[in-house]
Amino acid sequence: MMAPPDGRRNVELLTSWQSYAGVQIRSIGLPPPYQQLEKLWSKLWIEQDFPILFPPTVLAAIEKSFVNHQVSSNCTLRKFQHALACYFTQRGSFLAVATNQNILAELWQIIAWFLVDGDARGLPIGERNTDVTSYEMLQALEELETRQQIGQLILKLMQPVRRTAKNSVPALFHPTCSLALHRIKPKRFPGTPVENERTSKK
Amino acid sequence: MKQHTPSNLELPRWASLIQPQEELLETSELKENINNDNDIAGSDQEETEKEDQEAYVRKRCFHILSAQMDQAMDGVQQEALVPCVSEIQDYLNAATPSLELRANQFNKNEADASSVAASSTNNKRRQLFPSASDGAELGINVQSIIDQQQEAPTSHDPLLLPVILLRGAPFSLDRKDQRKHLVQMLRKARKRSCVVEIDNNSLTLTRSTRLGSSWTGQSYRNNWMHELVLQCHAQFPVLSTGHLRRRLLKRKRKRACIFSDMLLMWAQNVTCFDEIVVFLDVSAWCQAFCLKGSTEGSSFFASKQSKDYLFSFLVVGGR
Repeated sequence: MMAPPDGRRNVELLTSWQSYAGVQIRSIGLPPPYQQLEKLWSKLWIEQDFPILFPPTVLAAIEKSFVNHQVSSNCTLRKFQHALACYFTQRGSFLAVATNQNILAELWQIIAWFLVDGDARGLPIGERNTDVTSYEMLQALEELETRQQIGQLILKLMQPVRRTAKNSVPALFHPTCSLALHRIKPKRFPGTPVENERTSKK
Repeated sequence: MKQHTPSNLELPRWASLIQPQEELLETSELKENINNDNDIAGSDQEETEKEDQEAYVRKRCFHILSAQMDQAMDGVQQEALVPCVSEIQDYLNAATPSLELRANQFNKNEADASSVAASSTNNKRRQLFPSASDGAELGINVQSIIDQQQEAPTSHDPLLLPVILLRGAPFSLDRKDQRKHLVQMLRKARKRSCVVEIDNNSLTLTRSTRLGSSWTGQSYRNNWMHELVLQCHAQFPVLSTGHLRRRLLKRKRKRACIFSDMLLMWAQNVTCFDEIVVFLDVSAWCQAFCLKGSTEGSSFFASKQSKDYLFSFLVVGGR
């Protein structure tokens, strides 16, 4: 029988595990979950420009769950997805993400129809309001995009703060970051009822 | 004879095409009413269509962004595991013998085989790896475990089984994900390794273990080996599926731990792999390996399991 030219041959096994006199062990630590969450945050909101900035209350709830309960990156991701699902239960919420490239690639025709058609334009807002012109809608979308860009800029600026911080809380949950995000007021589309003004009048 | 009443007269076919005048008037009024209703229904239908479209857009947006999140998480996990995989590779390269050594061992075996024609293959292996049957029965040497924990092996020692303890995340879902990615990456990186992942859930528990009456190491070890044989055959089929199942069933009925023989048979026939890398849960390790040796071994692994969130072992069965 000839040996293969590269010196390789079949796997040779012992008949049972007891044949070994012992084991040689090497211990390797895998990356901790908060580190993964940190990288996920930077990948989503800094590299990929994820279009939705969650409100600070939602972030606080997710942080509480992360720190106090499970310390699991997977569970936190599921909670983010849950918050995302709750966000999309509102009518017309898709307008806020209309500038995302992935969504535009698939749904640009329907989104364009909702912007151009008079009846359809009023539908996402919640009122059958045909007074809203397509120009106003486009302006609102542009403002929304600007707001998202400001939010992402804040998140980028928060990175060095996170690096200097001693605690292991991911930057997304950092109190300064939440406060900064809270400062950006949510965009109001034309035609939507204003709740704050009513309460201020009272 | 059949009597026809005026209502059920059998008229010629063309007569049904012409409707009486009175009926026509009634139908025109009806049609008007229906048209009016249709207009209202049509406008409602349009609205519902728009609402459906709007709901559809929202749903698709959610799915797209959710998939983006999942993809980002996968990418993050893979990036985070790259240094671990390179570390594992270094350890495996150091722990397994080099190609020259393999060739030398192969030539030595051939020489032995020619001189002692009657000796069996097991005997040949015993010359390479002195087994327990040559001397006293050996268990796991805990001292050797503790001594070599932090040091990578500098040379290949056939008497020691190379094991890697992976300290993962505290949450089981995270650990499963990490292991899944590790297996995928290692399969890509080491194409000459048969990487097998044995999950606790994939082990088919026997009736006694399911009832909790007796958790015997023998049955657990059988299941573990059973799973290992199945997965090895799945990656490189030596026997046909039906033949393999029949053999496994036969072994099970005999209640003999001869799965290792089947694994040996597979190893003798396979040519595309040099080694087997097994990902195993720490609890499975405790049950399958630390029973016959000494209680020190099992207590050592049990303490590690509770302290450091160890989730899996990497066992290399090779030359």
